[in-house]
Amino acid sequence: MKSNISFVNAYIAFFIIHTSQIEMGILGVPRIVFLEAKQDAWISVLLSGLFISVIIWMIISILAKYENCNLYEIHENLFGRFIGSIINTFMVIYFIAALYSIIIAYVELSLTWGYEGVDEWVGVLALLLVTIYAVSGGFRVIAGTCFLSFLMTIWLLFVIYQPLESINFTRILPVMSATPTQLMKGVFKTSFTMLGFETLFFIFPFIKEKKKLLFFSQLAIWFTTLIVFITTVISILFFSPKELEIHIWPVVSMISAVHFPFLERFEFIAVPLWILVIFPNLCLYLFISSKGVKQIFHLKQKHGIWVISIIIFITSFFVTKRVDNNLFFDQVGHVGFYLWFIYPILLYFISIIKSKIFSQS
Amino acid sequence: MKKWLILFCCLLCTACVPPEKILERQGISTIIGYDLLDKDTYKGSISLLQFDRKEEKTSETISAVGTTSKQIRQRLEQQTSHDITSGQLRTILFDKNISEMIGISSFLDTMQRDSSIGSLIFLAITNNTEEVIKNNNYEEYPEMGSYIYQLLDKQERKELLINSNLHDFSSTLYEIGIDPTLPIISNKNGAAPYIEKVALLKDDKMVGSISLTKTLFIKLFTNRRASLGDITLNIPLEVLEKKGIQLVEKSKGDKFNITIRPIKHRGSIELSKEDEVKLNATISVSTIEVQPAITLNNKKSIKKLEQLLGEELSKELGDFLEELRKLNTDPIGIGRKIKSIRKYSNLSDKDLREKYSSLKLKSTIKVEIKRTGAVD
Repeated sequence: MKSNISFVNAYIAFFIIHTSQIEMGILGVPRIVFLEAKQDAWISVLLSGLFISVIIWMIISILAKYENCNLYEIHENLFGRFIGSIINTFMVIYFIAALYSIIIAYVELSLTWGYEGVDEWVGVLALLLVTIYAVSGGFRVIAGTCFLSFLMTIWLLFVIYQPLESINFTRILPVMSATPTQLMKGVFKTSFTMLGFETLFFIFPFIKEKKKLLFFSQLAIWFTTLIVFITTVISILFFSPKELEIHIWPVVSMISAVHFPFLERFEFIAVPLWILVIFPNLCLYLFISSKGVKQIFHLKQKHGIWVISIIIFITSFFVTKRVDNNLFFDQVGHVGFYLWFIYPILLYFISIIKSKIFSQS
Repeated sequence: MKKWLILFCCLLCTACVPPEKILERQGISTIIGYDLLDKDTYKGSISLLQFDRKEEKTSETISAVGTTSKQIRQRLEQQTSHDITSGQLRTILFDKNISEMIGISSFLDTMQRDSSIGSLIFLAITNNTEEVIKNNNYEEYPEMGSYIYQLLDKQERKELLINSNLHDFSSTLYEIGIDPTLPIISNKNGAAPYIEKVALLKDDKMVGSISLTKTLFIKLFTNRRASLGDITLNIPLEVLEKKGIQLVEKSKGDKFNITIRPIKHRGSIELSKEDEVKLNATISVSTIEVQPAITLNNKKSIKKLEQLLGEELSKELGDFLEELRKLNTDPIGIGRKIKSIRKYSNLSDKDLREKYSSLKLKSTIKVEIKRTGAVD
């Protein structure tokens, strides 16, 4: 491995994983899960937290077998250069798609709340340039971004205090009326929002104390689960069922009931502020995908960054409508689910089998 | 390279602002009212705040006819050189015809879709919205919109009104098993508009109205934080004597009048048997006016008075519930409570209404006199 690698402490992993999980999805997740599991949506959220917790454990044990490798290198190691590269290409495409889905989701939101009429590509370009700037600073800058973004936005949680005044507890009753299939569908939908823990596969080589990593990554995913859980429960209590089903961003609509003596429409602050929440995601995804390009084509990472950015910029001229976006998010979510919920399990067993074969011979 | 990138970012990111809005050029609408003209055509009237110092008037009212609220708005734009913005919109009025015949929910769509309209604006019903908005008799406020907003806001916070902002209204409207209520604003020539009654709605159509004091019974069961407003009871002296409460001074009329101020309240709705619902509530109050005076310094007489007040209120609640059932409307949310029980969680709106009309309702209100003011 390279010797000039820049290490960060293990506790930073908490911020990286947590911030990469929280992104645009959380603004809409109460509705999406509610559509599947009705008032038991919160159970689905907790279940998916449990599911991710198991997967995190698997990911760490895979990574522990290959010290100081990221997933791309593991693939080449496991499957050989050729097949490994094919899988890696697929992953890079996924990350580019995920990056685009976050950018366009945010641009769409900000166009609805105040910037109507601006072309999508303007927003996309602005976000891309800032991201390119951060990513070219290297991994330590990205880790710092995650840390700062966490500190600067976590207080938003307290804003839901005011909607608490008009909640109604009967709306969550009766508990456990959803069928197991509905609940599992809810878990499936929640998982789209909870995606982001896969960054663990790629930040692993940069962490200094690898033994502590399991603890901090578990902490991160449970913290995320808690936040998603809180927003889901409060949205269910706050909106009547039919209302929750029609709001695209129930969380934003909910904080439109928040007003301070000095500020009447808080959501117009919250929406621009959300850029801080998605910024770490943008950085991480651009970083990971450019790392993949470097691995596959042996390009310089800098060039990878530019190539990917140009691809995304061009896409922003074509996929912009609400319906198209929705389809796009769904597809990315689906692929993400199989890639990071099912595939790690597969990978775990493959790596066990392979190490058994090697130890026998 | 990096320096150029930073410079470029600065240029691009700072240029990304929404089109500028100059205060003097804005026509800030604070109130909008819809009147039914024909089937499907409405007349919309708005009141605009003026910021131009040269003008003497502080507000301007205009109206236009159209089929959707956004079309009306477009036509309103034709009549003014100002940019009509709805960011400060505080109140939306509907006339009686819309609320009785068409229903309000068709207007809700645009309010939820339009992100510039917050969810804290008030909705109200009135006879003719254009006349209300054109009425010049408001107090010290610059124009009608601010006046009506303050009027409703004050009433909601400390007096007799049920929450009627857009969020409360739409969440009760869309919820199965509870019906919304809206204030009715009355308008007389030569006087400022005032809140007259509270409209009862079934789904989104107005079916009846109740006096402001009756809202007490709704708030008792729907909102634990709401202020109930003072309660005045007029009890015949014979009833008082039957209870054994002694008057201190000689009475001038034949009624015993008492006003109590609720301090805290707690209400619960319980389905006790298959088709029997118990509505229990406890109110702790302080007595603020008693005519004629009675002794309130011993436990016994206080207990008797508490019982008496409780009985009177329970009776009134019982009558009120029957009145609601006659209109087949359920602003208290009894249906919602039934639906929250596992057995009934699949009931549809229609089934719930049927069940609601056949239920046996038992209501008891317990009054607890906590304080008696500075004297006893």
